[in-house]
Amino acid sequence: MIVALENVTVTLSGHRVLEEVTLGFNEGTFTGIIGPNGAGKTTLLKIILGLIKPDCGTVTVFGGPPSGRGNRRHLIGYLPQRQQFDRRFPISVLDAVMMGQVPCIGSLRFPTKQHREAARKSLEMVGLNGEMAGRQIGELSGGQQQLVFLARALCSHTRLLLLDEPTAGLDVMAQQRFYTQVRNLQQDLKLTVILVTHDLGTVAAYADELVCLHKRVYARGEPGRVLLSPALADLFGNNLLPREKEGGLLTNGRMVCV
Amino acid sequence: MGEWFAYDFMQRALLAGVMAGLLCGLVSFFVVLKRLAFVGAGISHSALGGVAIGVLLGINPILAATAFCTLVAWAIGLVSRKGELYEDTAIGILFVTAMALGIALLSLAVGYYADLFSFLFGSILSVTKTDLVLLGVTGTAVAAFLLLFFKELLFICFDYEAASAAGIPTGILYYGLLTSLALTVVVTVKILGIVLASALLVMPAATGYELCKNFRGMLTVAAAHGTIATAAGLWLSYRLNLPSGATIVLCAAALFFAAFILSPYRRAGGRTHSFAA
Repeated sequence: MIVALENVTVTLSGHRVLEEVTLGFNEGTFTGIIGPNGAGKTTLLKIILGLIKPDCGTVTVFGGPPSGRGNRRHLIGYLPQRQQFDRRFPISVLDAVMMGQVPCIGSLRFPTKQHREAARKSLEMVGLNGEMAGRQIGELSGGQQQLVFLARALCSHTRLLLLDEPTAGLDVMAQQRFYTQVRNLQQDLKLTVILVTHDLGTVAAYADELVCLHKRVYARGEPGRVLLSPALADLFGNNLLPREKEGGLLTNGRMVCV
Repeated sequence: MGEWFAYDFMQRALLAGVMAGLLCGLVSFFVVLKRLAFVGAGISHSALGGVAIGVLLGINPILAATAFCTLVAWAIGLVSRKGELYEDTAIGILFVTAMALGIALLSLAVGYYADLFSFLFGSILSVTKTDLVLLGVTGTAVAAFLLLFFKELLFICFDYEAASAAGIPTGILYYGLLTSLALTVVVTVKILGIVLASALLVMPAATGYELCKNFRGMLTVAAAHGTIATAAGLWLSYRLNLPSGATIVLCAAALFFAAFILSPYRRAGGRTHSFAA
C-alpha cells in the first residue's frame, strides 16, 4: 500500500474537518475522491503531502512519514486547485515544467541539461509538442495550462499523483482531453492517482474506485456502486446524476463513458 | 567622465549608487513577482522608528534601523501568513506606528533634526567609506541568498502551494526574502532616504516586467534600470543642482514610463494586466 491513513482526525480553525478516517491506496490504482463542499477532500490531499498535520492518527506515504526526515516527497506529483495567476508572469512553458524538477535538483544547485531534457520529456508525455516549450505560460489556453502543470507534477520521478479539482473552469473538451491524458499516463507509468473532484459523472468513467468523503468515509468501491449507494443520496440528495441513471449509463457497477 | 567625477565624494556617491541600483534591481524582481511593493514601502517608512531608537540609545542609527526593519518585516510576514489580518492592513498599521514612534522619540533627542533630514530624504553625496563597506557586504549577502535560492524563490512567486507541496521550505525562504527586503531598504535609505527608498524596490523590475516575457530578460532589464537610473540621476542632480534622491527616483520613473509606453503587451493589442480564470 502506497498511502495509508489510520484513524486520522483533523481540526482546522476550530472546525472538525476529518474524523477518524481510515483509508489505503494501492499502487497503480486510480481513485476519485468525491464529496460536498467542505467535506475535507483537499485536506486529505494536504495530509498526504505533509502540509497539514493531523490531530491524531497515523499517515504513512511510501512506508514513511509524509514530512520531515526520510520523506519521499520527490515521488509525489501534486496539481493544486486551479488558481488565478498572473498571465504575464515571465516564464516559458518549459520554465514552468522545470519547477517540478526543483526537488530533484536540490538546494544550492543549478539545473543541468539533463534536468531540461527531463522537463521536455514530461511535456511530450502530456501531449504538448516542443513548439510549446518556448511560449509564455500565460499565452496558453486554460486546458493547455493544466496539461503543463500536469507535466510539472510528473517530472520528478513521480509515482503518486495527487490532483485537486484539476478541470474546474475548463470546457468539456478540455476536461475530456485532460482526464484521458491522466488515465493513459496512469496506465502506462503504473502511477497511483488520487483525484479530488466534483465532476461525479466524468470521474466515474475514468477512476477504478470512488471514495465518498464527508468528514468521514461514507462509501468506497466501484464507481457505479458508490454513485448509486444510499449514503450518497443522503449527502447529495436524489438529484444526483439523474441523466446517467435514467439513461442506464451505470452498468455493471461502472460508469460508461459516452 | 566630466569634472563632476573628479571629486572623491562624487566617486563614492556613484559607486554607492551603482551598487545600490544593482542590488535593488535584483531585489525588485521578487518584489514585483511576489507583489511585495507595499511591504517594501511599509518597511522603508518603518526605518524612521529604528533610526530614532538608535539615536536615543546612542547606537549607530543604521544598525538600529536594520534590526528594527527586519523585525517589522517578520511581523508583516507572520501576521499575513497566519491570516489574522489582511497583509495590507497589517502593513498600514505597522508602518505608521513605527513612523509615529520615530517622530515621538526623535522629539526627545534635541538637535538631531539636521541628520533626520538626511535620513528622510537621503544624502548620497555624504556617503562614507564605511557606508560603502556596509553596502558592499549587505549587498553581497542579499544577492548571494537570492541567487543561490533563485529557482525555489521563483517557484514560490509563481505557485506558493505547489512549491510547498514539492517540499520547498517556503516559510523559511519567504522570511529570508522579507529579510533581504529589509536589509536592502536600510542600505538604500542612505541614498534615497526613507521617503523614497521604496521607489527602487519596485521600478527596476516593473520596467523589466513591461518589456520582457521571460524572467531572464526581466532580471537583466531590472539590474540595468537600477544602475542607469542611479548613475543618471546622480549626474543630473549635479548638473541641475537638484536633490540627488529625488532626481534618481525621477530618472527611474522616466525609464519606467518609457517602457510602459513601448511595452510589447500594449502594442500587441492593448492587453493589460490580466489573470487566468
